[in-house]
Amino acid sequence: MPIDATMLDAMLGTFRTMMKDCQEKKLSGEDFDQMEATLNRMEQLGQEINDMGTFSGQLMQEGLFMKFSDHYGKLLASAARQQQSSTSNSYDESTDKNLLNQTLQAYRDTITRIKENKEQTKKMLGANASDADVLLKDKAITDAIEHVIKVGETGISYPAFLSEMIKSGLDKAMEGSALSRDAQVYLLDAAKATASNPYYIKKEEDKLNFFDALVKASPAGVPNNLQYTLGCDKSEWKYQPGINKWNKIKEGWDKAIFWLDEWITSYCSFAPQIKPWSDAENPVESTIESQDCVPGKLRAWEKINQRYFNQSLLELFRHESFAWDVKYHSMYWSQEYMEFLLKEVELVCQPFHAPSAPLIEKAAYFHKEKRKVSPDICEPLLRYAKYFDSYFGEGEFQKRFGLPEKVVTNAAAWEWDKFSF
Amino acid sequence: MPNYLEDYKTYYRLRMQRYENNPDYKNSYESEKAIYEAIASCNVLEEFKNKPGNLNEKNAVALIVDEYNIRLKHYNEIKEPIRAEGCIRIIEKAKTIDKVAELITMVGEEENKTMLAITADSISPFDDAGYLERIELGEKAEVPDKYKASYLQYANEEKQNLVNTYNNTEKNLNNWEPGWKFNFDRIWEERHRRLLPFPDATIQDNILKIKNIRDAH
Repeated sequence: MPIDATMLDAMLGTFRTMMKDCQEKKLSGEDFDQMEATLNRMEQLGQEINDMGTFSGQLMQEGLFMKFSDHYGKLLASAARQQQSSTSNSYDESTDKNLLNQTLQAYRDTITRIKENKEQTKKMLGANASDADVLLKDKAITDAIEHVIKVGETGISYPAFLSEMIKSGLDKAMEGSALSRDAQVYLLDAAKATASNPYYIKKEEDKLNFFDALVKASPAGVPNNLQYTLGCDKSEWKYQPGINKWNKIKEGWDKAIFWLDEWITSYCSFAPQIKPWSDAENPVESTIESQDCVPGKLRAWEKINQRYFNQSLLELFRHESFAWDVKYHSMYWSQEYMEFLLKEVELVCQPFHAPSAPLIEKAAYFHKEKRKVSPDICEPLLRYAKYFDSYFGEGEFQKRFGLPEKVVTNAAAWEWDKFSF
Repeated sequence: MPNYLEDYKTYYRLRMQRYENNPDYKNSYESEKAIYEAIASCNVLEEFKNKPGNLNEKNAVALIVDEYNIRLKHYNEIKEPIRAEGCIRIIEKAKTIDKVAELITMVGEEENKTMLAITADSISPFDDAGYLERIELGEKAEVPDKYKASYLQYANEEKQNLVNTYNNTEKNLNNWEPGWKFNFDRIWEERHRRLLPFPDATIQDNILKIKNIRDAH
């Protein structure tokens, strides 16, 4: 069975288009034949292999993408050389104009391709076609190219045109740097709106600052593309260990809250009627299992985290990830319920121990009085919606994804300064 | 009527000046300087047709050497030896090439090799401690006797899941590098070790546990 046609089209579509383009231009020669043979090999593998991983691996092992691109580049270069050598031997006005026109035509073709790509993207996006105007900052690059074309149309010589490109930094802009700042600002805004941890924000801030520093250092105000790419790579490298540790510690306290809540709530008389127990085949038995087994799991989990971070369960809650989630309203639970879990429940949640009647009564009170959930729990999504709308238009987030219903809770909002356990 | 010779002299001077006093582009500067000097010595533009010889080819090599040296410095700094080795191969081979077409092919081939090597340099799924955590919860959680069997069964299922995941990873990576086997020594390489948020003792312990589970299944 072959690879799914849609997947194959996505992977080989560009190569097929490049091949067709060369056929239409009536190009030929060894490189053309090699391109054709390489594409045929890719198509053949697509028919013989049915697993995407095996297919991708085989393409890489045989270096087929690389081979195709290599011969394509050589074919175009050779075509351009032929065109140049067909002009007269002496360098005169006609030779100069010919060279300039070839270059300008290549730029005009580039604008056409960029516009065609955008139109294709718009078709794919359907009802949200206008997103392409936000995501593909093609205007910055097409403006730069159009400026280049205008410079070339002023009647200057080809070498004077090339000099102008260097002086104005347009040769660098052609490498795509003109696009990067907008894309970087978009990523930084996304990191701030998501606010999942400080490292993501710092990472994107570093990249933007680096971009601006390169712009400042460049006489033409255009950053060096290679330096920028490596600078971004370094930011990723720098922050990843911190992100991994942050997430693992957060997982430590997050699971602990989940179990503390499950354990104490399972003792409430209404527990069999609410989730998760109401979903069980035997809800009553299921609540008893929570009562009997959660403390053992919680303490085994504590030992695991103790090994990882040399911290007790309660110490995990003092990590900045907990304060961060409260500050950015990602904390699901209310302050009063969290204080109850950490001050009163955690201590007694031990294997083969049961909570006291007043403790169970208090847990039931939080549930019945709807005081368990933070009133700000919708804030992260609203914050993200605001960010989304700032790029895609007022009300767009709600229109496409809807907004969360206001949570029904009587709990007070978090006041971090007053939080203690 | 433009003075083409003077215009070309200006153009090549600008190209040379782009790299002047830039320690990262020393080879490119020298190469651009040689081209500029060749055109600067011409009295008529036609002389320039033959004068540079293979300087343009050398210029492409110089740029590749400079840019891969920049990459090499970066990868050495962040201790990424596989990427650094790829740069070294390209720099060394580029120095022996004098045709742009060969240079492009060589860079493409070496980049492809580096990509394969990076894919094969994987410690996944060791970076996911979840399997061992769930096994430990199943085996070590203190629960009443009546639940013990089901907790142990849960732990055993997780062991099987762990074994399956390692086997599937090996199978998938064999598509990229035939004969690929999970290499536990690789975990201690700094590029991998620095990403694991656990102390050495935990990592050592996890390695032993995984080896034992795989041996037993």
